[in-house]
Amino acid sequence: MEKLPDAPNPPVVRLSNEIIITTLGSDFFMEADLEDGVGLKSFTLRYDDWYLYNTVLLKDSSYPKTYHMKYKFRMPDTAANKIHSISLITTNVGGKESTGQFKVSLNVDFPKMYLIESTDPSKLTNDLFGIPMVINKTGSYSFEATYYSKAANSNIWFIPGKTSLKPIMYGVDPSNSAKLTGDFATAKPIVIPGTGYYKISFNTLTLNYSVQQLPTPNPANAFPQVAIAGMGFYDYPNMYWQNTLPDIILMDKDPVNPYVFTKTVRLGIPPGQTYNVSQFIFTTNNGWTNFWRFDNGADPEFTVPNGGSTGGDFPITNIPVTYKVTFDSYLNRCKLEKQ
Amino acid sequence: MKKKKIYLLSVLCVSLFIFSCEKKEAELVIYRPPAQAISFSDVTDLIIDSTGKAVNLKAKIESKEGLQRVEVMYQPWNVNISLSSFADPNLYALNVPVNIPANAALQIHSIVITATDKKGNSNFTEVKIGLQDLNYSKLYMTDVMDAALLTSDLFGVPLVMDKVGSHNYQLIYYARSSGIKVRFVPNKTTFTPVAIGKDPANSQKLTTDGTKSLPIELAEKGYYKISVNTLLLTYKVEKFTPGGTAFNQVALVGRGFYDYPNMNWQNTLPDIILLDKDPSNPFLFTKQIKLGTPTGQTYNTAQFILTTNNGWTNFWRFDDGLNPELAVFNGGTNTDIPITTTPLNYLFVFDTYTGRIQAIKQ
Repeated sequence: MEKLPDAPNPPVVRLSNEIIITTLGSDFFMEADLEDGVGLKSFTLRYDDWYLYNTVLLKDSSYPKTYHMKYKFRMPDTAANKIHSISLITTNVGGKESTGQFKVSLNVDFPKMYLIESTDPSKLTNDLFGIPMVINKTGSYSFEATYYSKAANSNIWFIPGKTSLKPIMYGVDPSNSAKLTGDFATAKPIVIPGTGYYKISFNTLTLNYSVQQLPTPNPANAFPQVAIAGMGFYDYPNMYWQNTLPDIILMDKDPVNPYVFTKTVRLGIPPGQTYNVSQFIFTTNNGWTNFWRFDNGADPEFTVPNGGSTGGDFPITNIPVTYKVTFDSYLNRCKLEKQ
Repeated sequence: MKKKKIYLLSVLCVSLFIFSCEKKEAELVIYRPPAQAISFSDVTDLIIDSTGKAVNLKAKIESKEGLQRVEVMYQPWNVNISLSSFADPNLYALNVPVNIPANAALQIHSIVITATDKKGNSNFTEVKIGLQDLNYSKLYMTDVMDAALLTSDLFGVPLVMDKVGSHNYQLIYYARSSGIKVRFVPNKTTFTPVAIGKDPANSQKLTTDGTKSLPIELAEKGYYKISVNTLLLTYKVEKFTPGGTAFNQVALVGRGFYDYPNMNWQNTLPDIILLDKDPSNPFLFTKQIKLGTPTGQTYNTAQFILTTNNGWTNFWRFDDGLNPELAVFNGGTNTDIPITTTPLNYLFVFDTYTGRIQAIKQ
């Protein structure tokens, strides 16, 4: 049997990339410089969750004193949205071990993030637009939502895509309420304790979050009236882009929050009309001064005061469809929910 | 003879034994990893916080045999915590505060948590601590190696980068010659203590230590997109091709140019200073200029902007009049920089694609 020399001091391990950020199904490299004064015998990479357990013997390299390890692995398509720890154990010819750990994370620097008030997936597709509600991205991994809580103890979660809660939905981590988890199966709601406007900030990399109540906006700065102007409203056959009453639809001001306006309307081709799309904007019932269009006409996510593009060319038919319109002129968010 | 036979037999036995041993070991290694006697969950894998603060390291540690010892070790910070008393030796929720020293090295720190059970089996995990202190509000790229050149310029050395996110910086940069060497500094005037460059121990990583970091060399002349992540201490250098059309002409307009006594805010030739278009980069304009109060004039500040020699349409002013870092297209403010009757010689280098402008002392 080969007699290996004594090597009483453990080897030195220097990880090149101790934090790895990648995407599902992508290859990534783990790299490290291994060093031992006498000789390196082997290194082992281990992560049981991904069935990784591989010992590479360095006998064929004549037990080198230095070795640059570059090991390719693939993040499984089914990897959980958490930080994964892959251990590296380096052994020298004397049997002494040194360890290091790679932390592998999903690239959770999503381009957009949305707020939801319900985990019922059908709510995501029951709207013309506005659900889920887009929030602000303030930096890499950093998001900030401003939310109007209508009632105390309202529940919210966050999702990075508009149409699905899976596999990633951010909510409170059940094992640590100071942190969020991105696992849709376990995420608990973030509970907004009171009523009014709140700022919710979070970081998808560190999973830290904070909830902060905002001062009540000055009611005097809210517009007295907001109306829908456009076309394609079944019960308003004459409102073809007129901008005065009675050919605009005045909305109902919320009795509590003067910035919020709601109205239940029917979208459809009014009898006697031939156009087959609906188009609209919001106005202050003030000619064309002070109005709101949208960030994107075909697929609006937020309203743009005195700018943006006309919401529209939503296909309509002779059969009217009832929607509840909710417009928050403070947040510049609007949603049309099918009734 | 008999003795020799026995000897041979024993050699055979021993070699058979070794063979079977090796085979068994190989099988174990490849097919059947031994179950971990100790497992970790809910580890605070990654913490981002600032020097001088305390953070809590947490982990749930499960042990079938019962825990004998849990150690939290990190020599650079003199962290050496050893716990040996557990209410429930089969399940322990570790939660220990650790101070990030005020003088902690600007890098990712790996704190090791090692647990040992009553039979002597052990396992480990790590908590990585990244530093918020590296999330500079601004980061600059230097293309000079001599510290004196950081302060001898009028402005534009080093070049301000775009902050594209927390800990993430990017710069489109035109290398005017091959072999330009760059590093990154959070402070415009010095390479100490922080000048971010390649780690001499690991060329794929950056180190923040200005006395050790090595420059990144841009092999060829041309445009590059240079990205730096100060949390992960990684970088990326990619060749870049600018799009769009370059302006034909760019000129300095204003006053305070020693050799142009008559150019007091005129906007046509000959009372503007046409810059030289770079022969290989149509977006780049350069000119050597003397700044100073011209003979016969009494003003004592240089005020100028850049124009396209097109009346007052399409011009650049600056983000700051006294210490410009960026030229702002069709916006910004005029410069207002003190001058004297002793002229100083500067090379103006203006990249109309990136809005980066330098006035380098000659």
